[in-house]
Amino acid sequence: MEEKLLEINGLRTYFFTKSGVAKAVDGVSFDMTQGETLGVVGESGCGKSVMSASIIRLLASKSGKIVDGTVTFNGTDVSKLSREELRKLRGSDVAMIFQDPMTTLDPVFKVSDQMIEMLQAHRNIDRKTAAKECIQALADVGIPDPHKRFDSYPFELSGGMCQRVAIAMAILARPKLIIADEPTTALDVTMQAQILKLLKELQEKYGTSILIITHNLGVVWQICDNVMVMYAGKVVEKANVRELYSNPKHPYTWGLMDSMPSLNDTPKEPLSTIDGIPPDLRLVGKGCNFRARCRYAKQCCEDTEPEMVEVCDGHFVACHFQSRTTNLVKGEENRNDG
Amino acid sequence: MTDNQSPLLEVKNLTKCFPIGNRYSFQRKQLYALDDVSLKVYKGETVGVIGESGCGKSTLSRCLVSLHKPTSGSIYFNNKDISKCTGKEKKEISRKIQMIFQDPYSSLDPKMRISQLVMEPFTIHNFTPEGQSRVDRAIELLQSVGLDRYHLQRYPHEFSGGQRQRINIARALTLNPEVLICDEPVSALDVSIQAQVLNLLIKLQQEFNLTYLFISHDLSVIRYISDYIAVMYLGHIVEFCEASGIYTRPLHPYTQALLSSIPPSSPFEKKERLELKGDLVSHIGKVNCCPLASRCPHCTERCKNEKPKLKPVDGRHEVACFLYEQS
Repeated sequence: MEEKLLEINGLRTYFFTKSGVAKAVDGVSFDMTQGETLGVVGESGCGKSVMSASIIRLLASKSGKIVDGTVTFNGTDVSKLSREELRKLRGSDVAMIFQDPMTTLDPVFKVSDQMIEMLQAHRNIDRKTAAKECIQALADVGIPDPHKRFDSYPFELSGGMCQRVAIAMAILARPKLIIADEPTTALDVTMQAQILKLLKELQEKYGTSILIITHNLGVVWQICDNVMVMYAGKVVEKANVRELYSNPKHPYTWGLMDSMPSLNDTPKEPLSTIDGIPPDLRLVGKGCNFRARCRYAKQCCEDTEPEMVEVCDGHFVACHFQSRTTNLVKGEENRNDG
Repeated sequence: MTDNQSPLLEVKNLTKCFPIGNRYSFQRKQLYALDDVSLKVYKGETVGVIGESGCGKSTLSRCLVSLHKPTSGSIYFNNKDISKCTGKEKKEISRKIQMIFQDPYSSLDPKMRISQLVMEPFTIHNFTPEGQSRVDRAIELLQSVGLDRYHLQRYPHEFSGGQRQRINIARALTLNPEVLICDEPVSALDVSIQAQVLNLLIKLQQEFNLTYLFISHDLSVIRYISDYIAVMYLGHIVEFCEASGIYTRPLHPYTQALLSSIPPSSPFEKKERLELKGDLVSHIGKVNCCPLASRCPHCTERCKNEKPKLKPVDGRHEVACFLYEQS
């Protein structure tokens, strides 16, 4: 058994709002090994970003609280760390890349100041050596003319360049885990392909684990080893990418995969869709969260929450009708009785 | 579609410059957002426009609905030059060409009810639908986009992104337009909702015999909805082709690179990537070389000194590249 780098157990992050408790993350458990790339997919509002922010306790809002569960990173329980220790953890062992490259960087400081500041925060290092390392990191992420870019302001760089700077900052401290929250969503396809390739190369070079959050299944197919599908704060399916692609089990995963227009589809044939919209996270109660949009739903989906079961090696599904013994086939009528 | 027919919408040598830099300087630089763009759209077809951000897709769509005044060149609608029309005629044309914007959150006035939003175009154009009241027409439109009459009294904030985009579509359809310009209508939506809106757009096209100019940066969406595809790069159309042809036989090096950077459709697929080095070059000032010259793997001396023109290679398949000029 390989060493676990990150272990999350029953994580629950709730937002306490005036109109009720929004269960943004509701009992998520998973673990990651060194050098693994895990993809988290789901629609907006399903709790992907809150989940990733909870790992390093970056919840900005006062109303958002981790109410239950443990996050163990490299053997230490993150929830027990003091503010000072958390500061040390963030940026050095766990780095984060955010969605919008233009707002990640502070517009009033030069790239050089921001990078050096971040390096000096973690290490006792003088400006000159720090600058050298930073320029090396910029060159590593494929920025042409790193000396010149090092001395420019963020607004002088394009979106793709800014994202490269953000990645360069993330790898500066050689983190063990990079959390990339929709790193390519704001970028063009050609830039997206370059950034993904870059992340993969850096991973091979330094053995970093990557937790990548995305809503684009194509990105998952391209770089991930394992994938986790989230819906309304819960993990509904978890498997190896190849296994998930060839043998998806959860009705939501089917819907998600089918609603992506593919280049091989016949044009203008109606795309299959998932009817309805995701539930209000303040109103989800007992039962399966997906039941209102699921065409296979039965009475039992209303009454009890499905548990994660292993249908075959390493493939977990949370659906009442999927287990080692029972099997629901896509497109066929649900003959299992609830 | 039919070749002898004249195009419904025709763009001829359209150029749009934006002045940049100091307002009082003697030599203000010009940013060429659109540089000599020509495009024909026939009735009932969908032309998809694809390209990276900053390539001029949105400027093109804004020129078409007269939100920007073109620097030079002309736009013909039914053989009538839009820019030369004034007054009543201009209003008539703007009634026929409607637009759907990208962001469903900022394109609806938060202080207006849905009924006001959907019926606003009637007031502006002093238009009453034949044989029915304005309210009835509004209800009918809402139903055709998958909403219902009880939504009329609500405010935009009560709707999700996908529903708001439906309201935008209903709003664009109120005046019985002939052409709908869709500027990235699904890029702000989730995958499952995106499929719903795409299906709706196709249904409406068949129902109302609409012509679409569909702008997107998502290749699979464009492939799905379009009959013809125009690939834009730095204010130029570099390739124009039938939708199926562009994927089976991409000619321009930029199109080839764009296609190879689509994420794979399965984890088993390993793609050969054709990489373009470097970033977009700036389009400030007039360029006299091929816009792709600095990034193109096939770049020759000629590409650096001369700009290739969009030339037909095979039927309606046109490409602007010297590589295909000899044959």
